[in-house]
Amino acid sequence: MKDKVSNIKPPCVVACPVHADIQTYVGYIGQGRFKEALDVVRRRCTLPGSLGRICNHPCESECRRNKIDEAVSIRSIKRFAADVGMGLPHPDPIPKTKGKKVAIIGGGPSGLTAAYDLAKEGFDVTIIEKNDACGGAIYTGVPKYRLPKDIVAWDVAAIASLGVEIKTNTEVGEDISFDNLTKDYDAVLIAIGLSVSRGLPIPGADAEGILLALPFLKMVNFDDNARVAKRVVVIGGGNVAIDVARSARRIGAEDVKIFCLESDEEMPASPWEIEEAKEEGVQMFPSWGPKEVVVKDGKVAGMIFMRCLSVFENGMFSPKFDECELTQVEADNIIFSIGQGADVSGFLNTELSVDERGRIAFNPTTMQTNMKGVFACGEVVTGPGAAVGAMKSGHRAATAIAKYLGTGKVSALHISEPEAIDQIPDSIVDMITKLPRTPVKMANPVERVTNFEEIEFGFDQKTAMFEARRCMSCGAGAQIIEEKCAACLTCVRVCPYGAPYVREARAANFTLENCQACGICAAECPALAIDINLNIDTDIMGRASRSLDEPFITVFTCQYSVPEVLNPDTVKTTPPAGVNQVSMLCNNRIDTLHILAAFEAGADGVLVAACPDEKCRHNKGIDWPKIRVARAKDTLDEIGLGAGRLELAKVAKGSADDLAGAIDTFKEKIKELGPNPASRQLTPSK
Amino acid sequence: MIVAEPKTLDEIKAMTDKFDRILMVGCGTCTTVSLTGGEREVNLMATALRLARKVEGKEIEIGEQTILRQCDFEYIDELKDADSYQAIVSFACGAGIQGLARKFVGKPVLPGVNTQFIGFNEEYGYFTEQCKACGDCILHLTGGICPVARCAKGLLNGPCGGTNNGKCEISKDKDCAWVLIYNQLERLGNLKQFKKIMAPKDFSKAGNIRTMDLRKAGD
Amino acid sequence: MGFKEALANGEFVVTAEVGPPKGTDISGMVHHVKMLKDKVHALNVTDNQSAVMRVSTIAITKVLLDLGVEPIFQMTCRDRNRLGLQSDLLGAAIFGVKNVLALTGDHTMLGDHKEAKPVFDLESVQLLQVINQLNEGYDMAGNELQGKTDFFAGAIITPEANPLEPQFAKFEKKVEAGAKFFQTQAVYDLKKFHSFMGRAGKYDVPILAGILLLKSAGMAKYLNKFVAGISVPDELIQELANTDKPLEKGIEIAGRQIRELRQVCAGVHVMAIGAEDKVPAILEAAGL
Repeated sequence: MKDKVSNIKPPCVVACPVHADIQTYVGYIGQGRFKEALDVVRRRCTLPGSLGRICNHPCESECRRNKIDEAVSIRSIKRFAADVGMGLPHPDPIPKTKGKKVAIIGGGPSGLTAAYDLAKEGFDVTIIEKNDACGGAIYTGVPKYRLPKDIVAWDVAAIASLGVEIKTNTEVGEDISFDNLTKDYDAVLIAIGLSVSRGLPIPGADAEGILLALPFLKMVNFDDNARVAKRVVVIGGGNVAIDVARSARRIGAEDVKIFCLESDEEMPASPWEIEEAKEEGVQMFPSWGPKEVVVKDGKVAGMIFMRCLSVFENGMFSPKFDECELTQVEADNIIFSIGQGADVSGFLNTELSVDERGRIAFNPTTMQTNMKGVFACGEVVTGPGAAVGAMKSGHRAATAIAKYLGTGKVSALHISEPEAIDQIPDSIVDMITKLPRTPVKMANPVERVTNFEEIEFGFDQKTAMFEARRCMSCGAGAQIIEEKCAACLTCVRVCPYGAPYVREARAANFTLENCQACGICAAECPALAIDINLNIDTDIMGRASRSLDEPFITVFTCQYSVPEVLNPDTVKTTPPAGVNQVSMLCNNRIDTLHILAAFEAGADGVLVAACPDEKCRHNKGIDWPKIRVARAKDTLDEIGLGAGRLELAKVAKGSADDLAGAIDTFKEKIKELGPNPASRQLTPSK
Repeated sequence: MIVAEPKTLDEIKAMTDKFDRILMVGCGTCTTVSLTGGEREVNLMATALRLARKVEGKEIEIGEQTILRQCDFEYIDELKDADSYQAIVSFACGAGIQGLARKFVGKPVLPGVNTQFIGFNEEYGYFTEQCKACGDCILHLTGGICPVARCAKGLLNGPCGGTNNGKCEISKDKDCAWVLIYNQLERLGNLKQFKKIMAPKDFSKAGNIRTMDLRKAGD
Repeated sequence: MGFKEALANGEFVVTAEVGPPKGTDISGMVHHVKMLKDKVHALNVTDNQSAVMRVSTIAITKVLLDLGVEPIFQMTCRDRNRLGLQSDLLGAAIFGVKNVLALTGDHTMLGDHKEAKPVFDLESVQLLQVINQLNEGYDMAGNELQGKTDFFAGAIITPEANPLEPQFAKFEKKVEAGAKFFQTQAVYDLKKFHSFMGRAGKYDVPILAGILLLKSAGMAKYLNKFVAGISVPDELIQELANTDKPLEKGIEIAGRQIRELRQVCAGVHVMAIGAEDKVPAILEAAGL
């Protein structure tokens, strides 16, 4: 049980290697504030279009909704934010205020991320990229059916637009010397990744028809005429092997088998990748080790495997085989997908140290190599991993470089890792409304293996918003303002989830694990001592345009219920004139004070749009919006404005038409009542 | 805790009719807990009054402050710029309202709530009277149930003829305290206490202008 | 023979009551008093009955005494504190009032001045003690009186109270406090009353059973529903419902019950709220 809001974050944020502020951007999507969402994504996830498609999303595995139903589809929500962003201009350039130049060798996820951070800080950043475009492994390696090239290009262009210079087709050691770079730039970052595929020293490994994963994927990506034979064996159990196998299916292979050392459970490839590969007809043969290639006439004819008994010993790679249990398969092509190495040829004969594994030697606490001012990040130092892991390394490198360039000294990074909120307590699991995860639409497997079209379809606006609203806003709920708290127990009594407690502390406290951010307590607290720590929009003063002939209506909407039609920040819609939408996370938060404030701000009428009782996520027998509207109506009568200027509309969940209808009817009613007599200054008579 | 109920907007409007700049002061202790005099209620009443005055075409400026207690001068001293207002509306119990009146001599100090009783916070928004502050506690004789506060007539010797199925003659919603006391004394095996005639209460102990002076304890 | 003496002699005692009017015109009341004068041993004079403001009891007891009728001075604790109660008792004694019925009194909330501050400085049990102390020649504070009183103090009991036990315990306290006679709330179920008397009879205090004239089945149902401690059995309601002359039936029932009660208790107290003129008929039906 954790109750101190210090560095405690939702588990999704903690699980994310770059600690993207998932809750915030998912929240913005739920409110229809897509551009704001994308801005938040970018701060940590610098390649939102690409990662929105290919991220292995550890965030979803940790989502607290898993205990209720299924994780929020965070990756697809991020993809949606990026897809919306593709219709918008790129970010503006950042002035290069620091007067320091940084060269980044390698424009993959880690290098691009470091470039983004450094450019944002005002450094003059140049990326040296040996390929014809940036992206690194996600450009050359990840197949187009998972990640179309124009998406990578868009992500790269967004970073370039900050003012990052990108020199493509420029190879260090060939086109430009490393020594010159260290001379010309104030700092150099090596982010060259692992671009060389390893082969296997087994008999027959040099036969015709043996291929290596990375060159194969590169061919598939850039050669429209690439073909393989009918029978293909892929060796390897990682995501690259799956990419290879599925790509082979798309360029002529009919019979594709994956053999790997690892058992079913140990396979490092993501389970959904394996599943999708199987749908496409790829067959899996776990726990087999390659023994020798069967060669006929110098060409691959098949492969003999031996039973693999175990892969690791004491956490070290140390496979054990049973050489008596063998199997032989026929194949025309064998593609090795068993690991990658670094291409450090550009640094030969320089001061730079390379370690025994052939990677750049570096100090992980400073991110610096053996050379002063030369830093390294990404897979070339961390080893193979997911793109988001490389991005994390890029962020660290950027921090280290900025520090170095700011102080002239290299120092250890102290980045404190956040701690996750615990899972939903068993005691309230049953109280939480189940909301099934929105499935992501995929192309039909039979059709999709015939081409390289993207196989996954993103969410449309409505779906993305609804999926985002499944987020439980973990830990973003009630926060006590201790000096105001009277320890009156009101919060304890009104909370449906048992989150608040008052004990020795003599002030209320909230159990983060229980709080669902419904806001009931905040709207009842007599001392106004509770904040709901979430990006709800309480701009009661109004942003919508006003017309003097039309009534001005403030509509309180619930994010869990009401769709995007009214929101001025949504990309594709504009609010009706004279309607100010105030979006609450949940309308249980609506406070009598909010309603009166709207009238004080000049509203002629206030409409509270709430979910129908049985649909409300948080009503546990008490219809709070109804109670509060009733209180406010009494007060309006006393004030002399009249209860008729306030209405509670139970709007069918997600029905824009319902809401629009309710607003129209209400507007007519308010028109008859005339302008709010308490806001005379807004009438034409002024 | 002291329980208070809110005054109506109409009452407050009438009291403040001749002012155009007033201060509303919440009390962070009892009336906050009884949901009628804390920061929320002050804010609500201030907003409502501002709106009501706008509707009438004569605007009013309202300052809002809430202090921990209005029954201590040290806390009252935390009020800022109180002197610059024409009048003060206090959302404390009678003690707090008078505290402000004593502090701000020459300035009208007006009650924002009706002080009700010493009560128990039964559940959210529901309070019951438990104590009359009679100055002469007899709860040890009555099974821990106070007839002074909870019998409509404050009887000391058993139920009156109006008791009906365990309810009071003034309301079917109210328990007859004496039936409760009888049952409790029976549970405690102490009905002989019930049968003892209790002498008339010494109301001098509940008299007006009471003070309590602990300072003389050292003499 | 006086009320106290009749009880002492074991006569079957009959009392009725008059309600002081609201206003200074007492002619109607006087008419009733005259009608009842020779048929009852004494007449209760109510005290702002049901918390409805009327002429002061003490004034009306004086009227009765002047008319030659023995009053029972009903005194409630609702409208006077201990000073007022004692001084009125002394005043009544000077007028010649002998009998006092000590009552707590209905709450002001039930009456026509709901905003009034109810006093209840004392209550019935304590008032009985006070009366006895005045008889001893001392006021409540222990000061000696110049001339003491000689009141015959009584109290009331509700035999059908629910729950009965706390009520019965209070009855015992009233006996201990010096109640010399009891009048009861209206009783209808004589079997139950019989068993009540089985307990109350042990205290050697005469009990006058309350008889309240039932004017209709509707009235009976109303009493059951709204009046504490009154319970009219269904058979009686049926009897009233099955006749087209319910008032006469009610008189008949009252008479019948009084006859039966002669074997059970010391007397009856006949109430006929708003139909005082029917009391003689009831007594006639009872053979008195």
